[in-house]
Amino acid sequence: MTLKGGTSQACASCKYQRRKCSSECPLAPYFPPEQPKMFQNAHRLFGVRKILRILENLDSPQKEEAMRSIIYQANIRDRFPVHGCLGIICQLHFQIRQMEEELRAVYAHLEMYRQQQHHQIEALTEDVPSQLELGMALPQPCLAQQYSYYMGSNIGYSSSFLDSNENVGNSLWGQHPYAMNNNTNSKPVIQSQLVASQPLSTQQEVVQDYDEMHSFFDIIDDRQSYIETKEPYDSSSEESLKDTTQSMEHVAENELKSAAACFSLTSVN
Amino acid sequence: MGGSSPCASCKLLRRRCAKDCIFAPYFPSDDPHKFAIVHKVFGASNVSKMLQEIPVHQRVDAVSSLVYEANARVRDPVYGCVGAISYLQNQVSQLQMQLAATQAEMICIQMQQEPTLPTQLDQDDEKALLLASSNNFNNIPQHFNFASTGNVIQDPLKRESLWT
Repeated sequence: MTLKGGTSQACASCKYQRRKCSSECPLAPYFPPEQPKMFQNAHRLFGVRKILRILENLDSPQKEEAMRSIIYQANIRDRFPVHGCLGIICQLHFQIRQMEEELRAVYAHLEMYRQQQHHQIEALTEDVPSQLELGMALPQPCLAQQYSYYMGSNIGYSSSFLDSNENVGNSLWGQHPYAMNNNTNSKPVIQSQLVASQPLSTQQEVVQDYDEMHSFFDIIDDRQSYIETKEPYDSSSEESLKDTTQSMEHVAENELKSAAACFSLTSVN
Repeated sequence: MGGSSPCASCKLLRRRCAKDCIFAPYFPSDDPHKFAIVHKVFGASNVSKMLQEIPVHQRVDAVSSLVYEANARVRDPVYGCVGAISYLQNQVSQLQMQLAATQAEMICIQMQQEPTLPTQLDQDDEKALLLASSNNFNNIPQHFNFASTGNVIQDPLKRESLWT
């Protein structure tokens, strides 16, 4: 309801409910009047009372994050009425599995090339004495250096990451969707990360765009530092990947292993 | 007297469970927690309206997703299931970078094995190779985007607004 002669317009929530929007309206900061669809989606999924109940036990910075996730979840449900966010999670898992298989194949090719290089080096090493005699010695230190560079940085890197994730992927797809109620005792890693996190510092995107959440996780997760250093061959990447994969396993098992299976991915609306 | 027991939703709501109860097929009486958590997060009225708008053959999946999201919201009141999406999106990005780096490495090795090329690359050459491999890699994610649903993964977390 528009306040006659007033400077502020009623928020989308109060407009929808046709009531007076006071200055203390708890939903006014999150549902601007020019975006009625956003509130309609949230109202259809949660309802005003449920939203307020979620917010009542949270601190101010957490409220903003919670509202963003509520709005995002509601919009996804509006877009995909049947599967909602779970459909996206399943697709992401599928995508991750495919990429891991691709990575495995690429590593296999790499190993093959390394073997070829190794044979070449051996062959050259055997021929060096005769070549030296003939004055035709090749630059051995360069080849050996590069070979050890690749070997040292990538063998452990590939095996630890891929082997642990293979089990994660298999466990996700082997669970019954109705078994998720057994996860009540779980302590997801995500929750502990998020509760202790800082609010988003950069707000280049619109509030409703969840690219912010992407950058949010980049900020709070120190294990991703290897990405920022842009040195995929850094020896610390192996440990960070192990931690990441262990967390992923933990997350997958606690959050998703009962619900992500058996979804028909071809029928997402 | 000989009728079947009420479904979990009608038990919780303390009402008579009709024969055409919309909740009965999906919330059996032997699993009261399932409906309880959905009712706690979304409300029975909202769930009923949502199910009515969905074709019958898709309601099982819809209920599964609602139960999952409700559980996620109870465990994590701030982010709910959206936290998992962001986490997985991050994993996808990391894997993409690993793939790009590994493919660049492969290109390096392939070039080294070429007899006509120099055996040692300087840093500029490696950067150029990394750029080339990442350009190649930009085409690869389309390989994983099955049908039109592949765009779904990127759109919600990217710049596109969902309600425009």
